[in-house]
Amino acid sequence: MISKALLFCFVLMTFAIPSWAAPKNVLLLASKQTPTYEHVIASLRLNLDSNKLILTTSFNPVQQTEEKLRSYDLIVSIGTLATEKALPAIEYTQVISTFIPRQTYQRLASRYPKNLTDNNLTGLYLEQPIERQLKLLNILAPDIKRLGTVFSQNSKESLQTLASASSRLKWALISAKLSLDDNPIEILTPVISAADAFLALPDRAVINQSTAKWILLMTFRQQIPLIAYSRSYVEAGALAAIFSTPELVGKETADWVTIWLADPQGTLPPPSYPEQFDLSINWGTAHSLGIEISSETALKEEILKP
Amino acid sequence: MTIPNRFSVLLLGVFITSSAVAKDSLLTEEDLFHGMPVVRSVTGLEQRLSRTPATVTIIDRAMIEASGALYVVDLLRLVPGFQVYAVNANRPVVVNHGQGRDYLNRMEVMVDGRSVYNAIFSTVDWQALGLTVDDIDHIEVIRGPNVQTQGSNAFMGSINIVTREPLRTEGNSISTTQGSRNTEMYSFRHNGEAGLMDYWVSVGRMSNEGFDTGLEDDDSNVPLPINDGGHMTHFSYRGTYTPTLTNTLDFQFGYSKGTFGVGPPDEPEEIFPRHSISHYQSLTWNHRFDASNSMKLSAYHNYHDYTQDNYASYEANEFASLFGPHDAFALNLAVANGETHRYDLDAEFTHQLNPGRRLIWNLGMRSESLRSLPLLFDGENYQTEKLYRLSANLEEQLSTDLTLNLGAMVEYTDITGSYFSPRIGLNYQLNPENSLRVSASRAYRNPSLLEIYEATAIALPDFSPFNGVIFNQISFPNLNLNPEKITAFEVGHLLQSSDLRLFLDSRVFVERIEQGIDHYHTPYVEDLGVYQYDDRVRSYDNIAEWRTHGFETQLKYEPIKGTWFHLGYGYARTKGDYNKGQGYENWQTELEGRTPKHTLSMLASQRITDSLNVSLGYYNMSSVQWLGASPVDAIERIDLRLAKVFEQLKVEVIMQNLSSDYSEFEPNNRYDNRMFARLSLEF
Repeated sequence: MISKALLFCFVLMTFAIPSWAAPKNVLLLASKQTPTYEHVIASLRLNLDSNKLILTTSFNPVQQTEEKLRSYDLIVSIGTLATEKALPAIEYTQVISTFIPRQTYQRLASRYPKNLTDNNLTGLYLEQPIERQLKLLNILAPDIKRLGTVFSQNSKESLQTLASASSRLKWALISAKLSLDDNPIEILTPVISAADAFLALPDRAVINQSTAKWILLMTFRQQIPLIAYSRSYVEAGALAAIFSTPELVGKETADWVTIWLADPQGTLPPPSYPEQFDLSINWGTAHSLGIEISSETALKEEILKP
Repeated sequence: MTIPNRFSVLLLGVFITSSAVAKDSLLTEEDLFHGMPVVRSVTGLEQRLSRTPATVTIIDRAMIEASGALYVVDLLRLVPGFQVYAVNANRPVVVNHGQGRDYLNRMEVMVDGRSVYNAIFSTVDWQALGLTVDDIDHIEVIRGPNVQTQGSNAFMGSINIVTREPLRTEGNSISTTQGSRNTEMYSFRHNGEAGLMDYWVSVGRMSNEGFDTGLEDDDSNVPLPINDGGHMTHFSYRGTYTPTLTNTLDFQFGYSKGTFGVGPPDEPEEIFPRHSISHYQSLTWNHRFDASNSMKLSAYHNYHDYTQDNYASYEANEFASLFGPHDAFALNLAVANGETHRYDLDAEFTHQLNPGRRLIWNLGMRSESLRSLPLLFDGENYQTEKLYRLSANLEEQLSTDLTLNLGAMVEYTDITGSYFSPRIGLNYQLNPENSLRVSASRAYRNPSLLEIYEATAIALPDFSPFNGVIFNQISFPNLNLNPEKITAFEVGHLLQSSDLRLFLDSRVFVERIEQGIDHYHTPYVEDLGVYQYDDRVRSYDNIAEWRTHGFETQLKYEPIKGTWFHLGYGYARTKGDYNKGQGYENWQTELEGRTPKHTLSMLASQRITDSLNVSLGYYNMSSVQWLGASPVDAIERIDLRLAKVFEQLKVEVIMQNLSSDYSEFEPNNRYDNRMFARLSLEF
């Protein structure tokens, strides 16, 4: 009888205590310990109010037991591996998956019941929305009529989004499917020769790296702009790219945690692309294409205009 | 098990593991953050120079065109600290920080990674490369020891001439250049596809009449014609085949044949035609195992054959005065006869071990053989050298600002043994636009086959009473020759503005060369058992030692589109000496005057209209006395080029040396004002 009364009191206390009174336990779970994830974590910690949260950081998802994971009020899983490890806990706690490619998030989420993922799981994607990338291209080269791209089994979902986004701009989309066993030049030649701009879609790194040289060479020879998705692609020779940085993702994820913390019901924002972005321009390529750009800052402002 | 067998087992193991490439799995964030291979022909400039341990100069397509250079070697005049000079009109030499002779042996020269070094003359035959300037995409020059990646020939630097990528930019171009010194050049290029192969072919013929006239060394004041002109015809092919996304095969082969007058430039009467035939075959296979691991396997063969009939008239006259004239006294010296083969196999592996750590290692072997009746002691048979090399370079990102490069090469030859050449470099990124680098290296250069085995002699006619007796033993082999050794330090600063309009790279350096190889003379050797016309015999020996320090800077600035300026400046001071050996009164030679103090190149290009371009080049080099040559005055040269495009036709007027005449290598090699017209048609 006494134990039942104690349990009742405990439950009552748990619900009656205002949120500010008991700091929430939040786990920042990174997929690996490399500088990239460390930057995301550093940015998260910088932008979170440590008075309202008890932050635990882990760079080793494999060592986390499910029982241990359930004990947190919120898990911020950074990257694919961390998300895979954290997902079984959504029956008991909530998860913000961040720094993760959109299609990977969607594939992982689809393994769990919808009612669980709707309430206890959300994702902040790593890629920038395709509309934003097309807007960048439209500003840099307003006369585009035909946009070229190649996709693989891994990136075919992005293709559908790209097809509808480019049709809204009244651009014809010229695309071809590519796999590791294909001759890249044979696949790329008809696409690039028919296009007046090219958008590179992110894929498995081995595919990205193996196609980049040919895409760069062929777009350069044909003097058409190439829009990419990472700073390193721009360094390699692409005209420009819009992308998320670990710092920006960390900051935006921290904003989501703050919203979650402030909401008495602990509602999570719906899965979405990031609001914040960085961009990079290869000035050498811009010069050779004859594209005049005043500055990266001015370009950013123009993209942000509705 | 022999080394070649071990090598093939290792490669087999690599190929088996290569099948493990992930086909379809989850895309991860790391896929998006992975580095990309920089395509230099697209970016124009290497954008990761701020992390390289050496000083690099890139001569890009824009500079190649603006320079108005007719020959590939002339482009290297734009490299700070490099000197280019013509020993004969069609026998140029390139050196870094002076100390040059009539051949180049301390620099590795490659075409698409294939070494074009020639064992017969310990040099590079620039006119037999089988290339025109139009075939080149860009040239990468490492200014300083690069033995750690390119092998022992890259002792003072390395030059890699990168030809255009054969891609499906179909089309043809035909070009002709006509002008001074009866220069005629014709070339044809075709880009195409055959099945799954993209390729280009280049065919060309050039001829010129070399330098004008010169005085015979300490003879009369009557100028004699210098017959160092000639002609060369070439064919070259490059094909790329990409069977799958992760495999690329690159095929190259070429052939060139020609004749140029070659000989001592201070003795025009001894310049005789030298015929050459060269060909090469090369295959490179690039394979990517996964995002972090890749391999490049390359194999090539180079062949050169030279014949020259050189009648040693001076000695013949001596005999004629004794015995009366006889045709046979025109002794056939034939100094430039011989043939050489080089077979080279190389496997290079690149591993991105983690985002901040990259390892490149390389395993190679080479067989080089040389046969030359007049140049070698046992001239009937091939002298062969086997070489094995293992090198590794680790790039470690110590922090976001600090990069450490550690590199080393172990080279073994069956003649000189094994040598270890290490390098350490640190690059510090001060801010996004500025970086500093320090590097220290030690390297060895193995002597060439010719340096070891050279044995030239003049023999009397092979009939009674002379019976082919050696009349004058000129040079003799030295089987105890050791490698040259260099120790180099540099501190550099690199500025690359974020909009890439400004590029400034400066460095101070110190180089110390020990056991330097050069001609050493010994008095007549009894054991040879031959009559000695003069009282000494020459061989190569480790008898030079010097130290060079200096400052170099290169600037490229493009204030507005269509206007750019390049400057390359090198200041160098050398202290050291070279022991010529006995038989010379002043046998200790100071090496200070053998390095030009100042070397300057400037190139400016201005677009006047969309179809009209003008460019101006200025070259200046201090006076110098090259080894084995007479002093030459400082050089000042101004070049002007006008280019006008009429749709598919380009017309260029190239004026070289608008200032007064100057001489290279020897006073006889006089450059006068020259003018050329070039027409190029693309269709």
